[in-house]
Amino acid sequence: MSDTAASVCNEVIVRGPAKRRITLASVLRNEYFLNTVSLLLFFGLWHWAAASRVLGTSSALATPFEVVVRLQELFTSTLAGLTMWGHIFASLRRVLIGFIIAAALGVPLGLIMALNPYVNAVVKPIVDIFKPMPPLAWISVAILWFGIQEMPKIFIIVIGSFVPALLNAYNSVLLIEPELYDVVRVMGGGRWNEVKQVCIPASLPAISAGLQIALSSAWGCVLAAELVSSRSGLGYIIIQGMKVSDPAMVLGGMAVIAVIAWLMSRAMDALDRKLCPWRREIKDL
Amino acid sequence: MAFETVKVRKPLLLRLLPFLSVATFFLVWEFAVSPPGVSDWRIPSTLLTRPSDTLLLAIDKLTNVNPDGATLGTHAWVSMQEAFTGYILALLVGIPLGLLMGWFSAVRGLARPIFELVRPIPPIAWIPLTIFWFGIGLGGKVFIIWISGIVPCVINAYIGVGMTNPVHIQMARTFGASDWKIFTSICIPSALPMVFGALQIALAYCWVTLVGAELLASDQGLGFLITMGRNLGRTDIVILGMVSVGLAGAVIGCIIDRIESKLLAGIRR
Amino acid sequence: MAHCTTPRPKIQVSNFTKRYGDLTVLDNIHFDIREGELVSIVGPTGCGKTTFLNCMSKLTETTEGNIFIDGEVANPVKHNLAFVFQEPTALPWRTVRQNVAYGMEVKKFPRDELQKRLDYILNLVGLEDTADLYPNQISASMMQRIAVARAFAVNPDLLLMDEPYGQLDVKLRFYLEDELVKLWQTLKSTVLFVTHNIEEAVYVAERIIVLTPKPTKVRAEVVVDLPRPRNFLDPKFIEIRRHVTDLIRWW
Repeated sequence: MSDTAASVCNEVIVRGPAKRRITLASVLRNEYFLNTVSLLLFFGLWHWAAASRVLGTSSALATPFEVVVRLQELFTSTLAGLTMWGHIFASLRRVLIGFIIAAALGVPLGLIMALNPYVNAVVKPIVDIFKPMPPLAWISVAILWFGIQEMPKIFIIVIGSFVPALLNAYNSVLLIEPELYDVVRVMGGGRWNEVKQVCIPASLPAISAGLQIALSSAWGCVLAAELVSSRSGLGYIIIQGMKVSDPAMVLGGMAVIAVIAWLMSRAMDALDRKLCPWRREIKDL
Repeated sequence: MAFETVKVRKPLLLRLLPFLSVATFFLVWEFAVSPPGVSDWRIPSTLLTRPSDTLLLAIDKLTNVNPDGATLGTHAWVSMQEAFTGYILALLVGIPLGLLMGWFSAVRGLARPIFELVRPIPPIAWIPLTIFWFGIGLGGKVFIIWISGIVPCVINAYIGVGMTNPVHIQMARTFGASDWKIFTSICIPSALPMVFGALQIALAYCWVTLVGAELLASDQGLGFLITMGRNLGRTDIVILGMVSVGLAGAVIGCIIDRIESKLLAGIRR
Repeated sequence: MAHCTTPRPKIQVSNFTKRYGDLTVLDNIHFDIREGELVSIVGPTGCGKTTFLNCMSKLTETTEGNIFIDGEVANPVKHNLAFVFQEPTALPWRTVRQNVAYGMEVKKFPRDELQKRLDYILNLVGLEDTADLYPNQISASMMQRIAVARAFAVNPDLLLMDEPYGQLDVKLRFYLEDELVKLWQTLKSTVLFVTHNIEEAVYVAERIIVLTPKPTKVRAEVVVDLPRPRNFLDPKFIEIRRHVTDLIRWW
């Protein structure tokens, strides 16, 4: 069998596209070429907008180059006693503590709610009361309760990631196809076997999707909490940049925030693939 | 038969439990908190406010502009305006963009890198930059809400087009349909359920972000009410603001839910 | 046979070759179809029928050779090609009526003609009573009738059918085969019917083209000159069926 094709049940499945000639039209239609054009345009426009002050004052936007220089400074010198690494660590620590607490509480509670109708009947209405409340609305009350140290920030993160963790765990069990239980029952398995062999593995993909949402929500929450009151963290960097009218610092902070958010979602993806390798691939952005 | 009786008895208790649960929740809240001005063994009123006091304050705030400068109705109206302007703009830009990205590789090639650059940034992180650009007026908040709403719109519309049954596309192709005709007559209808899903997700995102935007920079709105309550040391105002935001969010969610199921019934999948 | 009087090759498939890298799937396939002829294509499993049809309908480009309609290279935009897929292709958001109209819409039929033809075709395939229902409200066999009606409606130069009844049960299949023959006789379309059911091929076709396994070539052409309606138990029918089966089995 050749490299380009493999045979399944005698049907030909083509691997790899047929050879194409390179023409102007095919280059213009090539996605990598268009990606490059798009990024060049984006950064070009950004640079032009910053350099020519279209947005008015000099404090509205910094050129990409200024942002890189400022970022380098932030990584080497200190701001409020911490280098950029220190601020990244401060934010990440809060996120991880809050996220782990929320996951440890939310996922088991969600599973128990889905498995036991009595627990569900008691807890679900309370969850429904709190669900529409945006996590950020808790910031003020958290500050009133816990002061301005680490506690209110972690509290907000727990609030922000608890609901998605819980709801996804809950829904994941409800969405399991009933035929899967029959497999266990037909073999003579009891309730515990059903939970262990079907519920937990079958709900893993949705739980991990919920945790992914929870983590990105946690990341938004920590920034909000740091914007409101903090002396460290990435939220502090961007709000400080705003206070001293330093757009390069704001944009640099945003870039670091984006990179970390991206890395976190990559890490969750990797974990997801490790935990549930059978999961169907969904065409995603 | 035994099986049936069990089935009949279960729902009775299960139907009662939610009401008991909610009633207990509010009763505990009511009696575990001291009335204003009283200090005893209970949670002091500087930390939490009784539901009854919150309700009384809400009624009072309907007409009273003190101490934060506007009535509850004004705050809610301002918040709604911001949220819906941002939301509608996010739908108007995000859904067509996602649909086009899903079908036309040229649009995908051009739009996707920028989208991927912007997507991981939490909307909250745009606040400082937005204040540079727009100040603390309506524009800035609408921009942040727009940013948070557009992401689910683009993603859902894009995935919706990707879920188009390939045989439908081939069928149209063999009839000699143009790319545009396939897009409008096959891809868009196929993507509609996902797009309707985005309506709800985007609104939830917008509402969450609204509070964040108002916490930082505003002079009216429910989020501002919360911040103001904290600055004045008025716990009751903070709680009132939180309850209002949650209530308004729930009401909007219900309305969108209704609209979505109507729309879905309309295309009769 | 009435169709044999003017042997004008409406469709010419010449030197049809498709290679993926080193793998030759279609190897120099050559045959003609006269106007108004119903030709069946049969072949062993995995003989590259899907590739063949995708090339015929221009969904895939051939490596060499081409398909000519009236002496011109076939082009889905210019010529009236129609394709009935094995899977149901009724668009779930359109009513039966709108589904049958879809092909004509794409071909930009004038509105009056479209409506007239639509009524005629719906009547012919017996879908007029269900015309305003949505595909999720009707049965699988009706879904396939939508696809067949939609294809015949555009008055195609060439109608390609890819095992359209492969997923239906035997009874519905007999019924729909009769319906196909009726449609073809009434509308005088040129049809290429791909199937792996030999009995079906002998029942509907005027001529059967037998393909070899990969690399696919034309192995034989069998003319089916039986009167219609045909009978499965007719000794001549059985003889042709055996002959075609042998052609497929002994390579």
